[in-house]
Amino acid sequence: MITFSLSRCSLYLGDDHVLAVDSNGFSEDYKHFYFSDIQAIITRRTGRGATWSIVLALMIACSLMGALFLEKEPVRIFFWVLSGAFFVFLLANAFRGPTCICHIMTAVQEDQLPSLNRLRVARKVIGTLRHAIERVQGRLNPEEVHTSQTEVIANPMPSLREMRQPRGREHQIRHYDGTMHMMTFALMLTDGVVTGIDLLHHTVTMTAVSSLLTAVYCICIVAALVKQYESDIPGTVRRITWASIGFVCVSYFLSYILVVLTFPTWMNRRPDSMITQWDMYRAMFDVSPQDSLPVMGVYAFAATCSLVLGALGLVRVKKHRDDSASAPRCGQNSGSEARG
Amino acid sequence: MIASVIRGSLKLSCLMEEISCTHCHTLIPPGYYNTPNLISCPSCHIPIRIDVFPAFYRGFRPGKEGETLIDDQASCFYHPQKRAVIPCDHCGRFLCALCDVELGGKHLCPGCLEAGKKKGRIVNLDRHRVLYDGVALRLALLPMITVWFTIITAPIALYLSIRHWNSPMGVIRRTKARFILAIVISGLQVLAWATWIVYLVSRRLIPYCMAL
Repeated sequence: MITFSLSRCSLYLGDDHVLAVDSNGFSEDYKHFYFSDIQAIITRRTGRGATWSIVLALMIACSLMGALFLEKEPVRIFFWVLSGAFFVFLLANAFRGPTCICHIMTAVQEDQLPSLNRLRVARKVIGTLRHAIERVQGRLNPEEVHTSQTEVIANPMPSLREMRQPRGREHQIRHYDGTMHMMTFALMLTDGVVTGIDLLHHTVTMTAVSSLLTAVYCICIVAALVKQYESDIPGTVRRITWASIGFVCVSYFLSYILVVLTFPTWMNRRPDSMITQWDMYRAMFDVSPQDSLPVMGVYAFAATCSLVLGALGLVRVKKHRDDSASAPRCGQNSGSEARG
Repeated sequence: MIASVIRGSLKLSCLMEEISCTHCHTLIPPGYYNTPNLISCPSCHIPIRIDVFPAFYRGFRPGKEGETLIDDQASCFYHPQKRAVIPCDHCGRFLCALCDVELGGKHLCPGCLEAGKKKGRIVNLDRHRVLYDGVALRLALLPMITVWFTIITAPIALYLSIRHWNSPMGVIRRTKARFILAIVISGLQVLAWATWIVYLVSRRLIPYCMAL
């Protein structure tokens, strides 16, 4: 795995141990995990691969926009090559499959194995390791497993809140009802509706309202991200919130490209009208989606994303709030303790 | 029967470590272990798979104590009052059960272990190694972008390659190719600089000599 620190992590299988090597080209760091000491391997699926796919797809879209709409031939060729390169990366990412994080656990430590960052590879390596470990430790004794299951029967499975035992102060999970998320998604939904109306029937007031709503829900998204940190909000809501901030970044980027590419044309059309900054804003608000295809595309993209993310987010937060409300009283108590 | 099960489970819970989700740090109940596919974490619902091995249920093994010496039995080199059970595979000293350190299938005494770690003889104890071949090659290649820096870096790369030719390389087998490449590139750079300097000096000196 090549990280931003330019280090490369690899895993080697020895006779009696597995060796994790972290190399930066100038030096190597080693970690030996002996088969007799390995207690467990924990694999967790991550969304990093999907995130990269989205980012690469957006980069391809942006490059294609440049390649299709720009006029100068060398620049167009450059953007075609760029989009081709991004497409190759996208294919490679898709071919390598979903991403994951693997941890190896011994009696005294729990270490990450950064080289096992793809689920397919991790499964294969764990299969190989299992054979090697079982050769040293023996197969899992059914009696031990039975005893463990008996323990589960004797001590029934604790509730989720009971199982959430924080390892340190920094990992305390607190209850959060999702008010900020609800506000954010409601604003996004409203903005989606306003932008949709603006797309069909453009007015300066509507564009101004939409811009104001965007600015407000940007702040709300950041606040929601802060609020959801180490809270019991479901993973889907978290992902929708992160997708929302991604959408905001992309839409700002697209708007910026649009302004840079098309603003000189607007200025040529109305050379005397722009005297102050306010006039410039007015000129930008005056641009109707019906006037230009790229502007219409950006409007449609913004409206669709706002509507979809807003609606999905609202539904999910509502479900979370209902679940929290119907949870047993003891759960609420422990939630209050966690908040306190 | 019930009492033994309870005793067993109590013993097990004392020995067992806890496995928690690596994302939300919620404790994962044993029913989630050793599943063939990924399953959702009961708390954060992120797909997770936990492969547990017998060592997990066995927990810590208590360390061995040396047995007390009786009559004319061989004694441990480090603990004369303890009975020797095995000789050190490296130095041959007799060791008691307490002093016997098993590493990579070998039985070593604490002294050899310490010396091996310091001198890098025991590969399995190495946690960090400098890759001099990589350093030399980068030192020979990277400054070529600026050209002028090679006047300093080329001799250093040449020196590093020769000085560390026999130094231990990475634990994973590496060839000397990087060293050879570094020597060739930095040697050429040194040669180029030498030629350039000779050329400059001769350009200055020849008219001066001619004038004389």
